[in-house]
Amino acid sequence: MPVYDRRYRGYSGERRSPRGLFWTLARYGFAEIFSTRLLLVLFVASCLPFVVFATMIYVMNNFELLALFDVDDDTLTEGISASLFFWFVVAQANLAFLFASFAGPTLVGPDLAHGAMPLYLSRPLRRGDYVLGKLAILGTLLSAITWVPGLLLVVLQTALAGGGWLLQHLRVPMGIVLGSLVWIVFLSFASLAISAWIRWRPLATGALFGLLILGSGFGEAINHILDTRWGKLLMFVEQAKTIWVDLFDAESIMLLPNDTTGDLPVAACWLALAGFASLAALLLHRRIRAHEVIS
Amino acid sequence: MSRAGAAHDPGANGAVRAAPAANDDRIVFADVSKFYGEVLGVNRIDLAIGPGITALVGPNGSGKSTLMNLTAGLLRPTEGTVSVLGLAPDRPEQLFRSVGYCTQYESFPRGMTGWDFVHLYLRLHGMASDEAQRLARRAIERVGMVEAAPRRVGAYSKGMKQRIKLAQAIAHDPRVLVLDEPLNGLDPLARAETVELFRAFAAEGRLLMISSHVLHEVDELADRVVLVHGGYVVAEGAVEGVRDEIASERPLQVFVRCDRPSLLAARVFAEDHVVEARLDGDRGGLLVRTEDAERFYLLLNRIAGEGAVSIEAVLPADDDVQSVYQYLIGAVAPGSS
Repeated sequence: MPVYDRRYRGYSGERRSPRGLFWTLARYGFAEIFSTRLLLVLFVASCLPFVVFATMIYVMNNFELLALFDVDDDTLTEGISASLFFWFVVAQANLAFLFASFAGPTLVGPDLAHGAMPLYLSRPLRRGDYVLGKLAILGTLLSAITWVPGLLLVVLQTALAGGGWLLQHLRVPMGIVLGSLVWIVFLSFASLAISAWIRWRPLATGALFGLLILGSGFGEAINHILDTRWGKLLMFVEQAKTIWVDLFDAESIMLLPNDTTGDLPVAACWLALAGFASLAALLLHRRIRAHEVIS
Repeated sequence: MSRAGAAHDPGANGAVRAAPAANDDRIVFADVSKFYGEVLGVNRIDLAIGPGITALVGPNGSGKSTLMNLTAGLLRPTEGTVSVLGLAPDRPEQLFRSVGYCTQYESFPRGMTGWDFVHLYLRLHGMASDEAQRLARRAIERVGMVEAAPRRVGAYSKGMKQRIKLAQAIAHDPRVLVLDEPLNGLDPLARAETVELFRAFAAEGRLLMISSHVLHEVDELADRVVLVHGGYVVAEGAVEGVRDEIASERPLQVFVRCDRPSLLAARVFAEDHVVEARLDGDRGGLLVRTEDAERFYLLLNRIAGEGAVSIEAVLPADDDVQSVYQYLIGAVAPGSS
């Protein structure tokens, strides 16, 4: 019969609340992403349009500088409207998509491929916390590409043009933040769900491209064949643009000059993107498990 | 060890049923079943595991990993209840503080060093960075991985991966260790060191649940075994105990080395509990099969006392886990060659 001296005394030190543990996962994720040269270059490149737009805002607010270059174009000297910020959001949304399509597949797929889930989930970490941690990685980095520099541009413009400009364009900061967040949520859920189901990273990246490009192609085909506009339910980029136009209150912005089918109702676009994000969340929920399911 | 004689009705024939009063010191499965859809994981398990080393033994797909995942809180039972030191799986925060888990698979997030691997999982227990570093260092030292810790896990040998996985399981100082095939891939020295580590943990009063396919190691290592087959617990307890229980169906084999095996054979064969006595010329002795080991050993004492036969050695030939496994489960025991 074994004899036990019962010297065991468990760890009695301090522990943080489990509810903040997702952030630990996110911190390790940042380090992992920035250890990849391609992702680092993509991230830095995604910040460059900010410099271009900031320069534009500075120049367009500086009449002496414009005079120096002999510029008297009315559109420049009339001041900066919401459309400049709208196009900044469009540009950054494209770069955010590019970044997410390469970064997203590195987040969940490798953990599943390497069987890391049982170890993650044998901590005080729930499945929801794990997903939240991964979403926080993309959410933070995509925010740094989209609405954060967008708001900095608004601050710059306000500083140069005066507080009156901001009062006249209150929808601009709201459009930048809300419009970017819609896109970030869509991209994050889509890329994580694809990463969870397609473990080979190049294929997962291709699948995210395919989702947007093939979706647009199918949507166009449906519109032409059935003479309808509801094919746009498969065109996620168009849905996002419709939402952005509505948020910026920028009806004069030309989106697709050759498009004769017309836009979907804004509410339908919100519902379509929310529906897709929910579907992606469901797919993630089915895949993120602490154990392999025997079949 | 008790054999769940009506193996498909555990609890009916000797399997230990948990006593609720002492549950805070044990792992208790009370009428636990787990089904994956229509696929059986484990069925109607009644089991209580106390401090020390308990080995889960059974063929692939027998339900060992399901039992381990239920203990580690990674699975919830379809029916019945599991409690670990009195903690239910629906209190994961407390449960996971008390349980260290090591999978049989290579469970490493991509690109991590051994140090990061142990440190990350400590941070996920909510420990501050300084404290996590101290505990990670201690755990890495205990498994002898100090030099390799700064290197990426991907470059480790299988044995090193096993040891770093073990480090993450013990790092937060859990009372319960659930270790799935922890000795796989270890070289003999690392294996001996790891076994010593397990014994040290057991001596501190921790509960170690270990699965292994290497049955002679289970014999050496475990205080008790749980034989699992087809989702049912076939037998559990100390190996010698279950061997005695099945002696009437599977007579115990004892090899006796002596100077006059023929004479000894004539003497023992007169006893009703001896079912076979076979001369073994190669080894210079007699192989006896008996349904009552106790009476046989008394008989041997008497014969030795009479001085007619000089007995050099008495060696039980099939009271190890491997033999019990073969008799109860009927397959070729894993790890046997």
